[in-house]
Amino acid sequence: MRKNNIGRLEEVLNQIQDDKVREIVRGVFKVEISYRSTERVNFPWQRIRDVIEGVARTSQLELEDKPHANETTKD
Amino acid sequence: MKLQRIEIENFASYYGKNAPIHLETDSKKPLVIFIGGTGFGKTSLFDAINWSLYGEEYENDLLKVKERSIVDYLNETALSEAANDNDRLNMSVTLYFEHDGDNGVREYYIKQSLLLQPKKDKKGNVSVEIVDRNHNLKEITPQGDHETIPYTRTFLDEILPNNVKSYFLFDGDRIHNLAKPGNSQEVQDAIYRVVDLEIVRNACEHLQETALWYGRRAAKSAKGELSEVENAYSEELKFRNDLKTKISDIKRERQAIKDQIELIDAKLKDLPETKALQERKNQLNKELTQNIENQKVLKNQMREEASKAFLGLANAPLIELRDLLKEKRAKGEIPKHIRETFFQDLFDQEECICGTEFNAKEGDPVYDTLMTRLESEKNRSAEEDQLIDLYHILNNAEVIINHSKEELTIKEDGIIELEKEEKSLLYQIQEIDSELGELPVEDVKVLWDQRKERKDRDDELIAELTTKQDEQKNTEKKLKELDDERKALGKKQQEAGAQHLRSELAKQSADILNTLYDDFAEKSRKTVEDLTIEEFKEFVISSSGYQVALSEDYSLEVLDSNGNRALQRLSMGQSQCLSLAFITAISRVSRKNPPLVIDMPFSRLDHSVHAAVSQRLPKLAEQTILFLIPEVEWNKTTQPNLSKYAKHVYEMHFDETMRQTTLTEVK
Repeated sequence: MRKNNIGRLEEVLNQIQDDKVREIVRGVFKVEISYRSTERVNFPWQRIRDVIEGVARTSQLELEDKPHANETTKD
Repeated sequence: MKLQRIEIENFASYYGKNAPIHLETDSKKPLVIFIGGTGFGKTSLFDAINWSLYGEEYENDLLKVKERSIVDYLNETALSEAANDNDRLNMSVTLYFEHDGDNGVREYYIKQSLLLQPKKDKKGNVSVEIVDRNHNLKEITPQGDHETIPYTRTFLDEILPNNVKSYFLFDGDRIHNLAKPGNSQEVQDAIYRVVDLEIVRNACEHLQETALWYGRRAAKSAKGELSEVENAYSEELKFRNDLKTKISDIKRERQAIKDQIELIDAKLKDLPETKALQERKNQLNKELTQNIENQKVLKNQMREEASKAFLGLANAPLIELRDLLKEKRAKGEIPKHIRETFFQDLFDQEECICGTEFNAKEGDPVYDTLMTRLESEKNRSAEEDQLIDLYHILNNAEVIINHSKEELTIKEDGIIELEKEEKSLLYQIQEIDSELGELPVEDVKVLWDQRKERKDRDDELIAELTTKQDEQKNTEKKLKELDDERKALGKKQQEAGAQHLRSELAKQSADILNTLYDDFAEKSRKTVEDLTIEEFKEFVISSSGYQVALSEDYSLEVLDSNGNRALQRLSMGQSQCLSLAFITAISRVSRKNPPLVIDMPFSRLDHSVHAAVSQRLPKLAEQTILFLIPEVEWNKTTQPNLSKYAKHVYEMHFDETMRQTTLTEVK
């Protein structure tokens, strides 16, 4: 699949320290670019939420993993 | 993107299936030139390129700007032939281009076509209706296959700067408009769209909205106290977002007002009755700005002096201490012990104070005795040295304090003078304003009333902006408190916690992006400004007397050698060069190297700048396509400069009887 070209927006992404936030912003930029190319009716909110959802799930998994790690240490 | 060739069928004055028109260029010859008189089909070819790329979107533009429907472009001869034979007919444009993308240089073509049905009424008038339309973008693979690219606009947006048809495919009128006074909104829009500020701003707003959406979901799934906190948080977040929107609306309104005032000022300046007053007012405003700047400098200097003069409060005990030290010095209490330098002197002379000569080397009894004495005196004299230093410091301190007090008084007087001058300048400006308002010339009065009305509104907006910005600070603080509370409570309720996490991620992303946006916008503005200045200098030799700037509110400013605003004084040619310089700058910042297609670039230019502009045009982009009028634009001055950089030069011919355009390539 062809790579999505975000050009000079990469400069903004490079300044974001937090990996999760960077992933969200990258995803949202892509949604914005493809929306700009349409007739601009009905903004795809669900696609923005999908981006957040993806990152949130990873965060939740990380949170769930943490207690296990502690338990292992205790054992 | 580099255009390769265009194929036209029954479009405007291009009858039937025309032979491909070659548009390819190379780095040494980046120009393609079409030369044709008025009505010969230059603008139709320009429209054909736009239509092939933007289809229905361009049709809407045609309707708005030229009040022409796309079917009006159907070739007349082809239409009457089809109507006579009762046949359907095609109107199409196919544009071939290359793009150097992730997979190297690839060839593409984009085709816009309409299938049309002619209809004759009883009177014999022929009309036409669209039966079918197609807009296809295809890639020609290295194997020669033609693969369809489904998302045409997305692809074009990726390889071309946004809104390319507005800023890179344009005519003489359009470029003239960008540099007119009062057009900052248009300049700002160009920067927003072409260098992607729009994407960052929209992403920020949409993330804020998404944070709100998750906040509401969290509130719904929360129970008890958490539910209340979530609701309060959602409401506060909404209030904060509304405030941000309001603040940005106010800023936009102020910008529009500023543009209107600039336009009115430009008009007032042109009226002979107000010219002298306006010039005087400009001068006073300049003096006022300088005065405020001087006050700032003086106040900073006063701050520094004040910190020193402040020591004056301790002046009495300091003098007392100094006198005490002075007295001890006079009595010989300090320095009481023999100092190291004294011993060093004896060692250098190799002669004791009593006259005994010795060798300044270990083993000599006099030297050894003196060294032993030196060691014992060393520590004691260090403390005394500090006291002596303190004595000198205290002596200096008094001088410094007294000097600072004097300086402070002088500077205070300076500030008072400057404040008086500021009041006087403001008064004089007000006087001129009321004089302008009372001029018995109807035009002036109307214009002045309009100006005053806008200025009053601007003052209201400034006050409103300050209030809203204060409110925003408060609401940010409150949000932080509520967020801490809901975080603590949210941990106890799983579902609400999950929604809360999403809301937080969206808000955090929006906030970070919001912070980065200002920097990104400012950096983009500065880069566009630098490149515009650079390009404008290249363009016009006579520009050296002018200084170009892209102000923080995105106005293209031109200042003369006295620092006065001179945008309205630019000649038509200079102003067009400024626009071209700006367009070239945004093209470079976008890093997408779009081709420039310019219809009649010299049409509004004074003949005196033809040479400079024609020398610069070949260097503006990797590929530039020009549509020129013979003699007026393609003349003795421009031809030598342009032709050596032209890969193809086409002469356009128009057959009046057949109403058809044909092209001949000039070798």
